Amino acid sequence: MPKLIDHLGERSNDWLAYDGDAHAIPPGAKVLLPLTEFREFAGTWRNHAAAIGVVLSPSDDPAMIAQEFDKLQLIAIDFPTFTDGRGYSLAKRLRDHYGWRGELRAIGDIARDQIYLLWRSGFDTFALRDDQSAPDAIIATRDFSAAYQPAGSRSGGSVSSRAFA
Amino acid sequence: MYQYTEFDQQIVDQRVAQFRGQTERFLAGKLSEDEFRPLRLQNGLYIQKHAPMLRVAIPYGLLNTTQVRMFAHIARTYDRNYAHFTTRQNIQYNWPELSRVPDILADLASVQMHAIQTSGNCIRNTTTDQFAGVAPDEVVNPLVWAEIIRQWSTIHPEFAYLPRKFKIAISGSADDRAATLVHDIGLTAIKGEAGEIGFRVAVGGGLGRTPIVGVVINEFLPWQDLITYLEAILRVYNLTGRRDNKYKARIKITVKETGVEAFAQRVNDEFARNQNGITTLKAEHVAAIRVRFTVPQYATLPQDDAAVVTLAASNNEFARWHKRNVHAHRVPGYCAVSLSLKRKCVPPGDVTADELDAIAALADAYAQGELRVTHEQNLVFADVEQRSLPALWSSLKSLGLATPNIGLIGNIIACPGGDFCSLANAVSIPVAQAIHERFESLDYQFDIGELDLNISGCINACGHHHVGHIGILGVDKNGEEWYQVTIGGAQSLTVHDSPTARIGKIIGPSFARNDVPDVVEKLVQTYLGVRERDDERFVDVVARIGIEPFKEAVYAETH
Repeated sequence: MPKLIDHLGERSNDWLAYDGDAHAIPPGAKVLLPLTEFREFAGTWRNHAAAIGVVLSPSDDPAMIAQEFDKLQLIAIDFPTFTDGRGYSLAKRLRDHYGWRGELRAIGDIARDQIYLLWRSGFDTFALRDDQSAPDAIIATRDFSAAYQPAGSRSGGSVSSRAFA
Repeated sequence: MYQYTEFDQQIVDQRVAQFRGQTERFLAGKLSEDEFRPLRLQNGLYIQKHAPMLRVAIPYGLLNTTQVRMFAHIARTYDRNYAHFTTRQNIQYNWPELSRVPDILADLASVQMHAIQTSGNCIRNTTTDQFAGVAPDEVVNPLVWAEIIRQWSTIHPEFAYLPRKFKIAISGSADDRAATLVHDIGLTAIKGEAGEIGFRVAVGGGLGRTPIVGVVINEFLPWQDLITYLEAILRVYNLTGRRDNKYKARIKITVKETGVEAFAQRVNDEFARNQNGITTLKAEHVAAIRVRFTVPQYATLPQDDAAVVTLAASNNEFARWHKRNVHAHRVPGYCAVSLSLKRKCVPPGDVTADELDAIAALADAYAQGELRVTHEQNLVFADVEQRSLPALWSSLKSLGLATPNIGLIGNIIACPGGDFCSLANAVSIPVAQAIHERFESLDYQFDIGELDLNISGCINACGHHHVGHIGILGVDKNGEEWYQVTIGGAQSLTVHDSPTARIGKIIGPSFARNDVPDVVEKLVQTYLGVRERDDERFVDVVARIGIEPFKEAVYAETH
């Protein structure tokens, strides 16, 4: 299981990703579902799991889950490669337009050199690629103590920002 | 000239520290080439044919003399005593060592400069009119808006991994000297009926493989909404731009494939979701940035200086320089002066460390310590008293920077080409030099009149060949260097009272390198034979009679 961090330190990762094998998810677990599975079987999973999260791929439209936030404890956005920047804009829409206030997690090709940007875009937890050092990635949230762009609806961190002035 | 606050300095200093760490990890083998590539690109560093190339940002082309002296210092300390001004108002060093690049960036930061986002798939340096703030035809001074865009786009977390590079240009004048319509976003600052400032917004322009003139999707965007609207365009592009094929990844293809109306609709929807939110600009935001700009100090002077008029009447050499390289200024008794970096035997835009120091000294003496870089790879002193022109001219002449060729065929725009660039199919600089030699006679150049000749060594079009009145493009044919010629392009022209740009048309099969000067000569001779007035420019004639007569003249004799 990937190491999980936020900007303060390592976090225990007790979410299980559902990959088509329902037996791998014991009753009472926290389960992370692909969007299609969530849309079709959210009701079934709610009876089975302690908590439900959903994974958005870069081409998914967050509008598909915007009415279902009350069923969700976690939204994860997948980065198949770190150079695919669509996830940053999905995060922005989820936070600022649809008003998701819960945990937003970056998963996939996640390495320290993208952590600061992800964090500033509204992600609060990061499932690191296997070769990544957790302490290094945590420090990366402090690469900058100032930013030109407002942080959006999400608070947190010590970065001072100003809206272009 | 914008002066950094502590806040600005902090961001640039921390960026240097971040990149130093990344470079150290790469050199220690802890960061792969694939992972390091976008990081180094977003700090201006390419890996070129001979060595890394570092592109330093000159935000909207504005420089002070402390910065110019730092360029000279960097050229001496880390490079081979020279640097190259680019077509995007930046400066490039062709020979730095990777391990020393963080030190160069630290030196730059010490004079409020950086190389952030001068390359990579992100928002690049915003460019503008080299006469911003001083042009008589200016409606709105674009500089404060360019700085607002610089700040907003710098390390914007959402837009660091776009499908492809993204270039914004802004103009505030009737005459579009910033070539806004061949940029991903072209902004024209305008005034509404009540005098309020707004922007005409064009998207999807660009050169490269698929040259397209941008399309206006908003005729009047109130200034308060500028950032929110830019974010809306960028977000729609980031989410829907193609990532499967880098040749189809620019926003111009997104706009084309989506359809202009549908694309504009998406932008407007995205804009509506965020309007009046945290990105709305307030008057105090703009004022806080405006007060950080130095203000030129103008003396009260007569409109025309008598000594200058007399010298121009008696000295043909001075008169020519005055005609081509001295430009009108909105303040009486002042002018702007172009320093031509298009010299015999020197690659266009190249300048030595000693020349940079000498230019800085002249800018301190005659131009209030500031200068600008033009997208034509020249320099401009924007605030010069007319009465100091004779002295300035004589100093520039002794430096070889007074060639009176601004706007003429000698003012060739050329990319570094195959001599330096690993993307190029063919060399550019030797072609530029051969043409330069062919048209060396100033009498001839003045007779021909205004003519933009642009050369690119490959289809990426860094030399902007598509918008040259004559454009020359290096192509590869079975491993050999050939040159395709286009005519009739223009970065800015007015058609039916509306500003537009025009992409040049290919005249036919390409030519061997040695034939290029002859071809240009035939094009020029054809033009001279059919122009109706001395002030009917080459590009006007092409617009009037089409490319056929030119084609015939060029290809007929080769049979």
